[in-house]
Amino acid sequence: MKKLMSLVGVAGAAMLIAQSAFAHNVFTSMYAPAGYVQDLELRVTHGCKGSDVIQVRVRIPEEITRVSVAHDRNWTIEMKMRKLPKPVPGEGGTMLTEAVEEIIWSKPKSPIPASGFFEGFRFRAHLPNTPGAIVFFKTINNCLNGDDRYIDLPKEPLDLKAADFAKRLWAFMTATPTPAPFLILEKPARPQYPWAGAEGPPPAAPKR
Amino acid sequence: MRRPLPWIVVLVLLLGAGIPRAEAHAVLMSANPAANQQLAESPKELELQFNENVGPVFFRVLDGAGKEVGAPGDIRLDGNGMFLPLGDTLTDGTYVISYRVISADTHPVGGSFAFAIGGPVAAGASHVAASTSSAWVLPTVLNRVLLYSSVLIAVGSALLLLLLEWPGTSGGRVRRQGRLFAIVAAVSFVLAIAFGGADILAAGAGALFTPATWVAGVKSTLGVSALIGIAGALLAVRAFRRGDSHGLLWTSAALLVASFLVTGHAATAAPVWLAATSVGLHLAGAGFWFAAFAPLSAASRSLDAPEAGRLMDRFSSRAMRLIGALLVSGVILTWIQVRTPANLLTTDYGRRLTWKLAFVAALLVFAAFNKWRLTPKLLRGEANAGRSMARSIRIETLLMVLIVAIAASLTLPTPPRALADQAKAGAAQAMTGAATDGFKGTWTAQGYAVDVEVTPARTGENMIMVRFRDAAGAPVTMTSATLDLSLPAASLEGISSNGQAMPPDMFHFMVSEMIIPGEWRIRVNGFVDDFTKIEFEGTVPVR
Repeated sequence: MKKLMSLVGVAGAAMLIAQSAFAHNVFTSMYAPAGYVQDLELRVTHGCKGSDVIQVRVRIPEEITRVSVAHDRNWTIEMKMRKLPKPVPGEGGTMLTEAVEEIIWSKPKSPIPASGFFEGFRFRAHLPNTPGAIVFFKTINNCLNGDDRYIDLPKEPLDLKAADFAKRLWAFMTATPTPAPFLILEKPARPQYPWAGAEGPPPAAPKR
Repeated sequence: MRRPLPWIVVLVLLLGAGIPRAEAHAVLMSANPAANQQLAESPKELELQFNENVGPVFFRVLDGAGKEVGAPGDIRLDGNGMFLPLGDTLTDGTYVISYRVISADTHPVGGSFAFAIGGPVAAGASHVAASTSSAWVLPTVLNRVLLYSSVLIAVGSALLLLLLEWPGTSGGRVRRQGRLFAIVAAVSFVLAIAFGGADILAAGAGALFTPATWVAGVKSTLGVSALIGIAGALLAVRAFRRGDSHGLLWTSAALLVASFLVTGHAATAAPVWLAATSVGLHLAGAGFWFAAFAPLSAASRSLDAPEAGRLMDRFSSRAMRLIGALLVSGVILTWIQVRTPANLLTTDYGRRLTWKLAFVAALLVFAAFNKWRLTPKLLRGEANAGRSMARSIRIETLLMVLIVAIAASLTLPTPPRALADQAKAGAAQAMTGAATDGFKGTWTAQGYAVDVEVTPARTGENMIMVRFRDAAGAPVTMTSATLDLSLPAASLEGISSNGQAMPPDMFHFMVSEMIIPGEWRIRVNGFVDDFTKIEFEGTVPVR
């Protein structure tokens, strides 16, 4: 009975999250494998108080140093870089001294209509290898008229292991007027592409 | 993913929830009259146009006193539009349209804006203080008289059982009386929630049957008080039925008294410990006295004269002490609220209190007459003494009901204490060299501080200046700043304003929506950079 109740509770909370999430900038999936290079899609679901979206800015969290952006035929893409405090290893034995701080999609051939349609913004990021962590990507939609800033963080840090996590997550997404999009990092449970960052399956036990 | 079943259920619900829903908040596209519009004559109908279909929660027009006006008809929905027909012609002046709707994604969205008839939107016009919306004042006060009386009698009955020995069947009468009034108190507390909620929403009579009203009532400070009171009253019903459990009687009486301590002028006036103790003692004393009337009256008729006299004697020796506490606490509370004797005659609150004190004096005369003239007669076993006593007690009961009624009406006007605080706040501002009018304050958040200045902090157009500082007091240049304003008491919300930068550290706002006096909540959003927002919150009294 208790199990059933908690199941219904989680389902209910998820449903509420699903409903309200449509009203904000969100990632297509709120879960991503920790430590992997992951394709991400940020959804912009509506304009600013009835005005078309003409620019989308995403602030890359500090824990993420490697990002690449999908080519796009509608938007002009710019990347703002930041200097890293100390170099980190990149692909092919190189060392990176700077990282993407912000991705800016602007000057669209056709803007996102104020309502009725959504659009995905695709980029990939090497996610930190910290299962259970939640990373926030603050985003700003600039419109013909005004802007919407999805930059609010939870007042108290969210803990995935807390018993009332679903409730707190729901509260964050509904009570905060403009919550920042986020990813919940999970320990990868299924095989992943062998891109950089993947550790591969554990080695077979040595034979005697 | 060790337990796949819950996640499958979640997935199905996510998909199910996602398919039929619109994917945006409702947004107000246009309004007629529009924000800050000047009309030549009163509109017949108010119109709001949204970007999608909406469901109304409320839609109304308020005058400068925050009162709903225009005798509105039923809200009409047509496509994305929401219409409010007005039954009355609005007189020239400034009005606020206030609405709250639920959009297709079940997200409530609300807003408020001003328009004016026959002239520009009022600037600095003075209005009477926001009062409770008139339709609910009478039921609220009547219910409060009922509530005060029933709680006093329930608490008093418990004290009578705990502190006095009752000969024969006279104790049973006290228990029955206590139980009856505990039930009345419980009902009255429930009504208080409903009336309070309806008042907050400024709704019509039908509101008593809508859940929103009850939710609003429970959420108000009065709600907490009522819930404690209901618990106390229900416990008291049980305690009086058993009658032998002293613990239950004490607990229920304490809960009932506590319900009066968490809200109201008296319990929230500084110094709180003194006010709360005094209110508690005042209630206990008044209750003991009030509750004794009926049982003593009955006992003086039914018991033998000497026995009735002994009961009366025991009562009056206990009552002397409790009435002493009652009077002392009354004097303290009067001092806290009124401050100087002149205020007893010059303010509305003071005059009501003076009436109450006059009736208390009359009541004391009867009490003294009973104690020193009639009780000795009863003890001597004189004929007719019982009947004289019963008659005297009936008059006392009437006086007590009048006193309780006045006490209930004391919650309506503002006590001189609060009036003095308002004046003092004005004086303090004059001392700092700023304008004699207006609000000045400093709010802090996340290691930053903001100095907020609202001029004139009166209804009408206000200028709001904010100045950002860091923890060390050095000026901070924010990239931009916005304001969110709301008046929770009138459920006005969704008013936002973009600031004009005045480098290096100041922002300037002109706000014309604050046309209703009250405690306005202001949130100042300072953007350190485009992505980093610091939220400062505070309350500004607008007169």
